[in-house]
Amino acid sequence: MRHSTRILSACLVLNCLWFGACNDKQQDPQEQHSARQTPADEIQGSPTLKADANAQGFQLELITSPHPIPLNEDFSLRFRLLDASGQPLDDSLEHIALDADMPEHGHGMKVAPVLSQDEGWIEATPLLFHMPGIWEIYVDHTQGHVTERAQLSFRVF
Amino acid sequence: MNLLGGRPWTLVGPLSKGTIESVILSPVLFSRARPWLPPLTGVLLTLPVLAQAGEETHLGAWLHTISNLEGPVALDFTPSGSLWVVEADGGRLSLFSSSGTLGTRLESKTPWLAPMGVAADTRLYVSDPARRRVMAIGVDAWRDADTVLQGPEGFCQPGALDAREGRLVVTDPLGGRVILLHGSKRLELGADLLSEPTGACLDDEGGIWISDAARARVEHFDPDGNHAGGFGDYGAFRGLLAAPSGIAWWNHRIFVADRDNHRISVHTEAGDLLYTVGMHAIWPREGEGLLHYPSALAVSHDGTRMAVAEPLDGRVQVFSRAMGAEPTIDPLRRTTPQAAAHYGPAIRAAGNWMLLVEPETQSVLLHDRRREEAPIELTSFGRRGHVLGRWAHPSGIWLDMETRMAWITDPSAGIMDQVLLRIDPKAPLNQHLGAAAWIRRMDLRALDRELGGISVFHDPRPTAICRREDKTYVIDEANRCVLVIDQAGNCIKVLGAGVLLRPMDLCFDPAGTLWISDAWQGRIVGLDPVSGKIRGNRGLGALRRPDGVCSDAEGRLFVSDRAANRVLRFDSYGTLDLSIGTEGLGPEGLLGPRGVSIGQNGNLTVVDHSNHRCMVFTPDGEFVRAYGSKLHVRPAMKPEIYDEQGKKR
Repeated sequence: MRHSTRILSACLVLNCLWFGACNDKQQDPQEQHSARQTPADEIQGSPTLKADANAQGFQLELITSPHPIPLNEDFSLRFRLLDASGQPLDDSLEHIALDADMPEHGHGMKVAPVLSQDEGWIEATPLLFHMPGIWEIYVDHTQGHVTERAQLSFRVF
Repeated sequence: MNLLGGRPWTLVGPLSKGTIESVILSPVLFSRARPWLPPLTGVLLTLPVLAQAGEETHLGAWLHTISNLEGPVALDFTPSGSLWVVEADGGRLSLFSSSGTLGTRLESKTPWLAPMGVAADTRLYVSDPARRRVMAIGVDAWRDADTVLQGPEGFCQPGALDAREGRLVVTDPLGGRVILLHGSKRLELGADLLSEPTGACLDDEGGIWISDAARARVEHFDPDGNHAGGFGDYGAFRGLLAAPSGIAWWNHRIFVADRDNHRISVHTEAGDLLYTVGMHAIWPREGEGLLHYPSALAVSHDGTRMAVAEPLDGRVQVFSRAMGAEPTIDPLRRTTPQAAAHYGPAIRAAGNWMLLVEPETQSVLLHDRRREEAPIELTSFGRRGHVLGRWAHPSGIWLDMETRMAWITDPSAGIMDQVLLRIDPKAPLNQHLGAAAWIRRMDLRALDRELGGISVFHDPRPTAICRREDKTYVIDEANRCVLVIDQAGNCIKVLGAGVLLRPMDLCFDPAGTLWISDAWQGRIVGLDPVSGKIRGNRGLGALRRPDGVCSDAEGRLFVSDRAANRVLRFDSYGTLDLSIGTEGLGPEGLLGPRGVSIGQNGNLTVVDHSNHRCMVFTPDGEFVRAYGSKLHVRPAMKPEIYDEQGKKR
């Protein structure tokens, strides 16, 4: 495997770490939407990752290329946004933003990906995870005066 | 009385190369009763100066400090070298001689309510943002002020000023623009470019230089108002700017008061850094060239003096010319400031948690308060930027323990963010650096101009926030009102329009009255959150510059008074029954208190803003503890005594 790197887990893994540690039987709305995400074992074997927006206003489907994400090498993403009924959102790129961060280190990427549209999917390239550790990919969608976010977490090493 | 210096006007030409301030003396020398010392010292110091006449000099040697000022926010030299200082917290203008002696003091109320900017030209110009106007004041009859600019349609509210040869430039930081007046001609600059213009100056060719604090930029406009370039980018390293707040031009040099980098940057007109003056003070109130949030500056007409205003420390430091050419490296010790625990001004507590703004890193800190001795930082989130998850100036905050949600406003971007904190408040204490998940951002500037049935003139600037029954109440500093926003993000009501002048903070009491502190009116206004009608007032005559406000379970109101360095408590009937704190660093000391919050144990936490710490008091005002920067905390705490075995007694 190139540079001995691979994705260990996706969004739900980290959410489970966070919320599992909470040991709180009373789930709040955010925990419920986390529980509805694709199970980690399915994500591991599938090239399509899925996540609900944190406010549940849309759903995100995302494919990384290559898969898994390499360490310190450019990669690209294809993603699309779905409405609550699962239908693709027909929206222009100016209402969509993509970014990635290492929240534990307080920094993001050294590159700024360019977005382009292709048959209902959006391609983002280049992305670069230059440091091993936990990364988060953010996809923001703006409708009117409200912007919502969907996010996926990755451990890259 | 001559308000423009007390002396006949004399035109002093620019300092020629090689001219040096003849005497650079520490005023400490004169504080002792040794009459022979000043002349002797003067001779001793003048001799080498004269001997080196012809050498190059630069502006940057500390000369003296004018202390005990009440929030100095603006200043300008008269042609004769006297210095006008606006004391915002005192609501007055003070004129100091070139040696720092107080001459004239113009008190508030007439003709202004809250002066914010000053410029001395052939007349004295004063901006009064409370009344949204700029006045020109005659030399001998200052009470007969002419209004030269009036809002609110023309601009939001005026801030810094500069005047030169009949041209007047006025910043409108809340409106994101600058206005140039020249006779009957009026030009509006930078409406699509500037974000928060906090300083402006004119050069001798009629060009306009503007410092934009939110964008960390200096912008240059030609005399016709066309954008002619600029420089600056955000950062702490030399050559970068963190919050350029004040600006001055002299002899093709641009002097920038870089507030959050605690220094003065001197640039060429092309933007190249020549040198910096000052560095962050280490000890509380340390001065003599060390700077602490310098917010405004002015250079004398002859270029021999530079005055720097530091509102948090209530002082103006005056610098003179120093030997040597403009240094290419900082002559002082350290060049890169480090972020410190500069809390506030906002604070919110809920349950065991406490949320605080950390202004120098544009982040928000979440603390757990289960440990008695000091709160533990669980996580921090946000940093400088404009996309979701980043802010230019986080200001208002709110915390809801039940949903583990936080709300944060950024007035310079006009936005409000909702963040989920993925931490179990009952779990063992642990740091969760990636705990924040952004839920949504609302762009309040994209709201309809008919908010809640009331027309607003300006882009909303949300500075403080509180929530009740799924509604969010946001202070809009620009339109001087409270926006009520529902769960879907729609503004359903506007409260306090026409009542509030400078709303600072807000809270609900147990009876459901919305209390809003108003700094310029010196009172707390109670509103019915449904009808918007006034239910009561607190603090008229007792409060000078009320800031943070909170209520406890008994309905008592706690209000910080930034100018009086104390917190006042009003019982549920409105009677002032307690005053907490006095100016200082000790256990009862406060300096510029801002946010206040009641914890679940009933204790009151006060953001002691200018002391870089938080102070905890019982509801009856007894000091419990302090935390924050050690240098500022230590004077407040009891001395720690250890026995021979090293155990704390």
